[in-house]
Amino acid sequence: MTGAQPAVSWAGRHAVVILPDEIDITNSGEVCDLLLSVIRQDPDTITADLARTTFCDSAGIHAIVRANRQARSRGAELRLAVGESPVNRVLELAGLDRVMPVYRDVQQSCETPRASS
Amino acid sequence: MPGWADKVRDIQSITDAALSLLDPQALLNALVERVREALQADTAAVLLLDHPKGQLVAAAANGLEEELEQGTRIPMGRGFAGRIAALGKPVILNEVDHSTVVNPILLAKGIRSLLGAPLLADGQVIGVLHVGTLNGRLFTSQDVDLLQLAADRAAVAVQALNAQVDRAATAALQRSLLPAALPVIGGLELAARYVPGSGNVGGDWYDVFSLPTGDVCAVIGDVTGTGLNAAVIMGRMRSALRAYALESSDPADVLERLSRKMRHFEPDAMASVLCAMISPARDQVRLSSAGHPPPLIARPGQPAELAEVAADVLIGVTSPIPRRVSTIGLSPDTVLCLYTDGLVERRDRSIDDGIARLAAAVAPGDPEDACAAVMLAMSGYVTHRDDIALLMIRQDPAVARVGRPEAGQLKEVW
Repeated sequence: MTGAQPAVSWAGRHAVVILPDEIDITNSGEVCDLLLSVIRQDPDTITADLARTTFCDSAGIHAIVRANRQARSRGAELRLAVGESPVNRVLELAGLDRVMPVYRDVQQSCETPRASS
Repeated sequence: MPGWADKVRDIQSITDAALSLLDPQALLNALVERVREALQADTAAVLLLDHPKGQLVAAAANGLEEELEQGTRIPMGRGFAGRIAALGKPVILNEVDHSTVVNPILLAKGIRSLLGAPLLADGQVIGVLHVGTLNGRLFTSQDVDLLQLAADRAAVAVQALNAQVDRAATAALQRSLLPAALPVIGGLELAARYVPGSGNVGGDWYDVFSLPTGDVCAVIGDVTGTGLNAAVIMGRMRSALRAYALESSDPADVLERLSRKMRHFEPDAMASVLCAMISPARDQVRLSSAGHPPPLIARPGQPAELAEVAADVLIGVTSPIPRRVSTIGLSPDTVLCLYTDGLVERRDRSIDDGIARLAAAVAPGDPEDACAAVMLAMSGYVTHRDDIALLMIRQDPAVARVGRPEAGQLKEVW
């Protein structure tokens, strides 16, 4: 992984996970494992912070999709905070913005309660 | 009698020599023979882990050829070899009996003592190497070290050789699924390119076929992952999509059926796919995109532009939201350019930047020329880490002049 290591922080049962600067085949497994390990800690909501992620290829998208599937099966909601990141466009092309909640930033996600709860 | 250092050299030399032969079986055969001699044992065998089944399968044996002849399979965790694989550590068995060994061949052979070591690759057990003696023997720590050294060498070699076999098989599979010559289809001219990424073939594919309705289905897709696994999944998706296209001429319906099939049978697979149905008169294309970059459309006298295609979710992702169909008109000489992200994606730029560059390179005209022009324009832009598929379709002006024949007539012609 390049750049700073991903970090996890909690506010009650809302976990925020900062994802790396670049996500590709070389670190997508780690990204997925990180998200899954957070999901196992029984959060209500997880926000994956992609604000500073500048590159995410299909392996990265796959990691997010797998984590999303796991989150749903455990009743948690995985959200994406994307900001102005170029990854925005990649998520849009992959149609992920239609199946996962996407927020402008972590703050907006944290301020928005879950629709179902 | 040779000393320990000589034995070590002996093991190393054999794997180096066999590696250059590029024959996994020859390597393993030579290895078990050399290991048996070096450790003055009566038998030596290599078993490799067959992942889907979680069983160890006899791959080479010396003094224990029965294992090969009888296709020995040992479940992970059971018996002597199974225990080594489960522990990932060497195991010494000074006295063999029914409680420690499940393989009847070892018992029948009268083996008294066994020493085995795991073949490890990236910390994962990929097999087991073991030696046995007919007389009771107390294996020393030096024996363990030597066997582990041989197992380590074997693991590296087996992995390298497997990768070579995988690459060759993947390339062969890709070649068989992406024929260089596209079908001849009335009313259209076609050209395509496939370039593997960084010497590693992946899961990109394209396909064009005509349907009994007179429609022509053009597909481009990208299975996540690389190597043989991605190529195998690609092959399954390609044939499943063909089957669904025979049943439905609605591209969104075809993609949803494909996604459902993948979610059920291969839940770990994911792919982006673009499905285009070209009308019998070749004047209209109905498109559905499962998370795939939108195609470009180049009309005579105009710069190429992005076709407006609704972006629906990837194949393999569950979504309650129905997939959409976008329709665009095809006029004579119009070129439709379908591609995978390997052609436009690079790390330090937005994907839109790459698509804009591609659009500047796509021009109406002969599809072969258009493919060549695009590959030339984009080859300096992308790093070729990812594989690239490109499919160029031109509405044939000859057919356009004929007008719009009835679908029934077309069926007979095509």
